[in-house]
Amino acid sequence: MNLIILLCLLLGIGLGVLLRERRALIKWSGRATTWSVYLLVFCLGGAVGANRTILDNLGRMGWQAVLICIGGILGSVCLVRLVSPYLLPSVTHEE
Amino acid sequence: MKSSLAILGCLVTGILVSAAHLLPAFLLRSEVAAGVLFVLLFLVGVGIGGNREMRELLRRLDPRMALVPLVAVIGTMLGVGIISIAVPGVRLREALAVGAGFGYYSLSSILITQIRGETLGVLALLANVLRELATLVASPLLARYFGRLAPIVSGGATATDTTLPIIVQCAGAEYAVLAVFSGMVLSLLVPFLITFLL
Repeated sequence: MNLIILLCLLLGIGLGVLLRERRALIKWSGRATTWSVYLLVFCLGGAVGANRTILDNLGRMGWQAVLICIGGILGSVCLVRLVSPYLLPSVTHEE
Repeated sequence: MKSSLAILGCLVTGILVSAAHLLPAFLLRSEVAAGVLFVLLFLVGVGIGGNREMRELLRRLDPRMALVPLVAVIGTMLGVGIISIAVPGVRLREALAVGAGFGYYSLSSILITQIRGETLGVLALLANVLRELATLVASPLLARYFGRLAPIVSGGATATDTTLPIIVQCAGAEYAVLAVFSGMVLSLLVPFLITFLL
C-alpha cells in the first residue's frame, strides 16, 4: 500500500514537470484534487457513521486531537525560538 | 478557513448520511476509496510538479532559511512525541504520523485512513484542522513570544496558502516567500513521512 502511494505521487510529479506549460491542464488537476478530497472525506464520514465504536469515542478523540495539535505547534515554535538567532543573525527578538 | 469548513462539512454529512443508512454500500468498500486515493495522490503530484513558482522562489530565498521547514519537522515530532505520553490509546508512531500532517488535514487524514483505518484517520483530520485554526487564531501571540518565524512553523504545510495572510500580517511581508517555501516543502513531505512512520 505505502509503496503504491509513493509511486502514484512520484508519477504525478514527473508528469507535472513534463506538462508544466499546459496551464489549463494543471489548473484542471487542481480542481480534480479538491473534489476527490471532498469525496474521500465524505467516504471517511460514511465509514465513521457506520462504526459505533468511533461514534461513541468522538468526544475522547477530540481531546486527543487537541493534545497532538498543541504538541506539534509548541514543539515547533519552541525549537524555532531556540535556533532563530542562528537563522536570523541580523534580526534579534523585539522583547 | 473556508476549505477547512467545507472538509468538516463533508465529514459530518458523510457521518449523518451513513448513520441514517442512506449511504450506498459500495462507497464504504475500501477498494473504492483506495482507487480514488491513488488518483488523488497522482493529482497532488501533478500539482507539485507543475508548480512554476518553485524555481523563482528558490532563487529569492536565503539559503539559511531553507532550514526552517526542517526545524518545523523536528520540532513537531519532538513536541508530539513528548505529549503523546499524555494521550492514552494512541501509540507513539501513530501520534507522530498524525503530527506529520503539519496541518495538511485532507491528504494526511485520507492517507492514514487507508493505511491504519478510520479511527486514526478521524484523529488526523481533527488534529490537523485544529493546527490550521490554532495558527490562524494564535499567530499574533506566537510571533510575539516565539519570534517572527513562529507563525511559519506553526502553520506547517498550510503556510503556503490558508495561513499565509495571517503569517504575513504577524511576521511581516518579507517573510512571505519563506512561508510559501516552507509550506511547500512540508506539503511534499507529508506523504513520505506518513508512509514511513506507519
